[in-house]
Amino acid sequence: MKEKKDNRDAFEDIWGKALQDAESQPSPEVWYRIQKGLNRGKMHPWLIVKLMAAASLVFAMGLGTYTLFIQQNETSGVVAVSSISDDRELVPQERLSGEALSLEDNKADRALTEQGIDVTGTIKDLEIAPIEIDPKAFIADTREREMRDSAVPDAVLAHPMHLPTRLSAARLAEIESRSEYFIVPELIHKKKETSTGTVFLAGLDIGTGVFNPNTQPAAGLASFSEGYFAQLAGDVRSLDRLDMGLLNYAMADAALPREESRTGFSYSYGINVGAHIKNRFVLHTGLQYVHARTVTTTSGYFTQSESAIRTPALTSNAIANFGSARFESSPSYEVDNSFDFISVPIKAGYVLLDQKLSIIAFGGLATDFFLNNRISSDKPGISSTSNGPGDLSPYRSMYFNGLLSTSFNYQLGANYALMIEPQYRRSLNSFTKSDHLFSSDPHFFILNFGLMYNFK
Amino acid sequence: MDEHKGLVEKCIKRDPKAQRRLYDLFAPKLYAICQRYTKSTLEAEDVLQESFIRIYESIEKFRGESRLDYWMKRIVINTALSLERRKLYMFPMATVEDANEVHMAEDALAAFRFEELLAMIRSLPAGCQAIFNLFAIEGYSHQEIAELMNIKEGTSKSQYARARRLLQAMILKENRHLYEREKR
Repeated sequence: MKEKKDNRDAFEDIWGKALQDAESQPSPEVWYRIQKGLNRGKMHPWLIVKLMAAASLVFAMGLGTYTLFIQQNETSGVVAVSSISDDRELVPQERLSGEALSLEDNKADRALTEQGIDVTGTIKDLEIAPIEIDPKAFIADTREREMRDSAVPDAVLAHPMHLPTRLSAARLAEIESRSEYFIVPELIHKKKETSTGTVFLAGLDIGTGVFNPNTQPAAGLASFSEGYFAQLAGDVRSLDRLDMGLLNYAMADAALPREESRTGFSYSYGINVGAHIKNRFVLHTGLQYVHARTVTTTSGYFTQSESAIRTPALTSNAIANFGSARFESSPSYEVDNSFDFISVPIKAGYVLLDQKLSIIAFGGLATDFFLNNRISSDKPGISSTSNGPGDLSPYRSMYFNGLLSTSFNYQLGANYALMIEPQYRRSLNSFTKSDHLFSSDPHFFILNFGLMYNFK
Repeated sequence: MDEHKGLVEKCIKRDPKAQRRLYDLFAPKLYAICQRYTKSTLEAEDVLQESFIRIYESIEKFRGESRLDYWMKRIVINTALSLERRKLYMFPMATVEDANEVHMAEDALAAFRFEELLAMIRSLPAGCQAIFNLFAIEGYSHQEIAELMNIKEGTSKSQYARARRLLQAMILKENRHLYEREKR
């Protein structure tokens, strides 16, 4: 590289010797940032775990819905299983007490009488006269889709708790040897329980999930850089002031910021109120605080003209810094880009399953009120910045989300229920203002956990 | 090259330990270079960070035809120049012949610590600073510098002359050594 025609002399030798082999230790953070830079673009292991958890939950929802809802119809709703070991267990208590019952009071006795069996007198006097009863009539077969009342002797139907006679021990042994049988008296006449009247509920919930800001350059712009450059060049349609004199950078040589956002996470907490109306319909609303965070990569920062404070340069805060800061390019680095909202959801639901475990499918609308956007970085010398709604913000102060969810509620006691609710939210209108140079249509997948109280 | 061959091969395979070893071996020297081409510690660390990322991402292209540290040094210099390019404005210059030249003794800089020399270099205008580093320390010719920075060779010479006089003035001001003054 050295050439004589360049007239090198002792000056260069002196400086070369002093600095050629010089060494200096960088801060430990540099290695950390290098690692982050090398892992850029790779899917973070934690995100893989979250996606797997979400997929598992959806699978569990589908399997649970199939198991609980569809297979439910195949059972007979048996309440107890019992193997009769003693004939006396089948004898109505009234008879054990020795009292005789009149025919008018005992429909079972009437039925027996019609069959030619003398039911007067006490147990002691009753001769053992086994009645041939088809064992199948006493067996609730779980494979049958509905109880066949006609298979059950009329005597049992007449008074479920009473059998008009005792089964002989031999007959009992025969039944037991064939299969288990169930005492189903209550269910024979069991009516399907349905909700009647309006029941009000209230509860608390917390949620966590995945957040995707889904930011794109506005239509007509090829990239964020182009949108950004257009803003810095003064093509800001929503502002009047164009103080280019304060914007100090070489436009021709400026390394435009490379900006991209990744899927992040969110959490929320709040209160829920609702009402079960009619049989299977519910209405819910509430108030929630939502915090959503994503990681954005950029390659520039703003230096404030007066204070020399440096803040990350994103397209979203370009307008706020327009005219008051100087833009400078830098190697790519990551910033935390977080958003705070107050959300008011309104949703209508249909009860798919109404047991101790209930399942409700919801659809609805959430109105989100934008509170704050905070941009921060752990890069030394870069300060964080916050922007709320207003003229200088690219974000609307309020926007709407559609939401779909399925709520799983497990009853605890008479009034309380635990709730798990996977929910998907998608913006119905853009989170950014219509005249801005990028758009954001966020969507969330949230898993809510809650405790509900119903005012029965 | 042979002493680092194994290390390079492991870095090509993205072995994190090998990458860390490479960083520990060469970062101090490369960081000193970054500091000479930038105006602050923050910028120097940015250049070092970006340089190492480029080194790891392109290390499979290293053929072993030159020394590994020379290859890495070139990447650092190119990175520093590309990131600082927009700041490399050039001052209008008086001609070289108009200047008074100061001859320096061989040990003229012996009394200065690295940080002091670095501060002097950083006080130069950005364009002068880069050209001074390339010519005086790295040993590039003015023609090579002109190609590297997309300027004219004459500009490189005049900016270097400016840098040289400014540094001489700084050392003279410090008055830490005996010198001879000679009018051209």
